[in-house]
Formats: sequence, C-alpha cells, structure tokens
Amino acid sequence: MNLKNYLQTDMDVVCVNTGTSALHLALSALNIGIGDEVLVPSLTYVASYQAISATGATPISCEIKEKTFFIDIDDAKNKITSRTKVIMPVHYASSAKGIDEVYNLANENNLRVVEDAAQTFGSKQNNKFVGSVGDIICFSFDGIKNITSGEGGAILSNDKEFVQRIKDARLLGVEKDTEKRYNKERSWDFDVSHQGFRYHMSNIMAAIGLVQLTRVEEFRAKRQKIVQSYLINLETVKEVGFLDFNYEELISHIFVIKAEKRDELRAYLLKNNIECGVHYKPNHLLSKYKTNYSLPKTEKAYEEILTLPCHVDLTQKEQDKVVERIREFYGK
Amino acid sequence: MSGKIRLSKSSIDDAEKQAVLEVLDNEFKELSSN
Repeated sequence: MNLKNYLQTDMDVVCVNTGTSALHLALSALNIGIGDEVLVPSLTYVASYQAISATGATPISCEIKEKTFFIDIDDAKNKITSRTKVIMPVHYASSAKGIDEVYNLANENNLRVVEDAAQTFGSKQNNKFVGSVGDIICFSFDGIKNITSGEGGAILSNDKEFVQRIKDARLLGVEKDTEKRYNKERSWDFDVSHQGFRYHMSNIMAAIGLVQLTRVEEFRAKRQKIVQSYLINLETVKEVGFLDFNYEELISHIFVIKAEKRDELRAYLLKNNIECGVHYKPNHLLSKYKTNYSLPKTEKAYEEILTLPCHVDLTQKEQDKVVERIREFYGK
Repeated sequence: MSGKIRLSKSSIDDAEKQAVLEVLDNEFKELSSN
C-alpha cells in the first residue's frame, strides 16, 4: 500500500518533510513571488499564511461561509486583481465541501489552485478521496493528523512539469536527484538551475507513514464513531451548533462546535480537566497579516468556535464526560 | 496520568516504532557521504 494506491488516483505523489513545506514548495514551483497575490481564507492555521509570505507573495484574506467555514467564493471573486495567481482553499476540519466552486472560479480567472488539505487525509468529497483529483493538493502528516509520519507532508498533482520541479526543489534543486537516489546512481556531477530546499521526507518518517497508512480505516472508524456520538448527544443542546458537513465522508481531524458563551464553556471544561481548543485565531487579526478591512463572518466564527476532544485513543467514558459537562454547563 | 481528557493525541503505537527500528538497522548503515 502506498499513498497513490490508497487514494485511488493517477496523480503523482511527492512526499516532503512537513505540510507547511508542501504548501511553500508548491507555491515556489509555480513561481509565485513578490508582487503576486494568493487568495486564502483567514480562518486557517498560520502555516497557510507563512507558506505564502515565505515566497514573497501576499496572502489576501478572504471570508468564510457561515455553514461550512470554507472560503466564501463571492468574497474571493471580489478580491481578484491582476496580481492574483493562486487560490488556496483550506479544508477546515477535514471538509472540502465547496471545492467545486473554487475550481469554477479558478478556471474562469486563469488561477492555479493549491488545496490546503492538511487536515483532510482519508476524507472524501463527492465520493472521491480528497487528493485524488484537482490541480495541486497538499497534505500534512504531523504528529496528530489523521495519519502521521512523525512530521511530514505530501503534494499531489497531475501537472508533470510542476511535479518534476517539486521533486528537484525538495532536494536542494539538484536535478533528477530523486530518480538517481532511487536507482542508486547519485553522482557528484549534477546541475542546479532553480532555488531548492531541504524538504524531502526522510526514510524514518516514511517508515512511520507507511505503517500508519495500513491503519487508516481503523482510524476512520474510531473518529467517525466519536463524531457521531457528539452529533447525537449534543443535538438537543440548542446553544450548540454544528458545521454543515457530510460527516460520513470525513475522517475528522478536529471536531468543532459553535457554542454560545464559548469562553465561559471553555473555562468550565478546562476546570473539569477537559482540554478544548480554538481553531483558529483568524490570520487577518495577526500583526503580520493585519488587513485594513474586516471579515465579519470570520470574526463571528472566531467568537463561537470550540474544538472538542477527538482522537483515536479517546474512550467512550471520556467522551460521555465531555458531553455531560457541556449539558451541565447549559443547564440541561 | 493527570486524568485530563486530551484534545488530541498521536495515533503512533508499537508497530510504527518497530518500522523505525528496521529503517535504522537496514538503511542508515548503508548511507554514504554526498
């Protein structure tokens, strides 16, 4: 089993050392740089933004849709300029619902699509694995992702020229070094014609990843059971809202609710020894990426979102406690 | 154990650890200088 087999795709797969370097390498290989703009939703981990700004390009913060937290395509459309080269949708909480609209917009405006699918490995959209179709898709395999290689990432694409560029660039730009290493034909006599990085995936990381890959369906079953249990047991709590996902198609890396009195609830859960999180502080509120415009839907989401425990070692008893404490907080 | 319910956790177990040991044993001993 390898990534290509698992994802049932003809796309080329290139493994790298982190999800962030996957994004940076992809943008670099598209020759994105100073003066270029990349459309990206503000509600994402700062890794998406750092990958863009590392090329010299400017991330253009876009709104999200209220129901799915996916990039708001109308807002993105309004932000297209002559400098826009790429749109980077982020599959928030493992869902790619809305991706078709992104490709329509990209096709109409001659944009490349770099999907930030860091949280999405193993999830499907329209019955197909995320990553099995599309322009450029970037996964992350860090320590707590759906599968992990310790740290790691992968880039998938059908663009052969692009794929050769990222294969070379992940190994310091040494031309055809990947192929030579596999054939044990490495030589001192090589050429470099483009900027490269030390972004390749090590053997140790790959070994971990290959074993994890054999366990994806085990992880899918466990994470889906956790999500279904939250959906069923919190359904009657009117102060709690869910994202409008096709959860049966997902392996949820994180489970996010929209909660009234979020900060008080979070404090109550923490007091009861229950870790919870906020994914994420919107990037347009960070000093480095501050905008001169607001994103009301994103800012509203930031006040409401709460991530509940979701991992393959979470027991039913632990999950019952999480639910009980939430119900208790709201007086149910 | 603190009894704390964790938000997230790695799914790595002994099978992955064994795979790493095999790589260390088989492949890294074969490495040569650039």
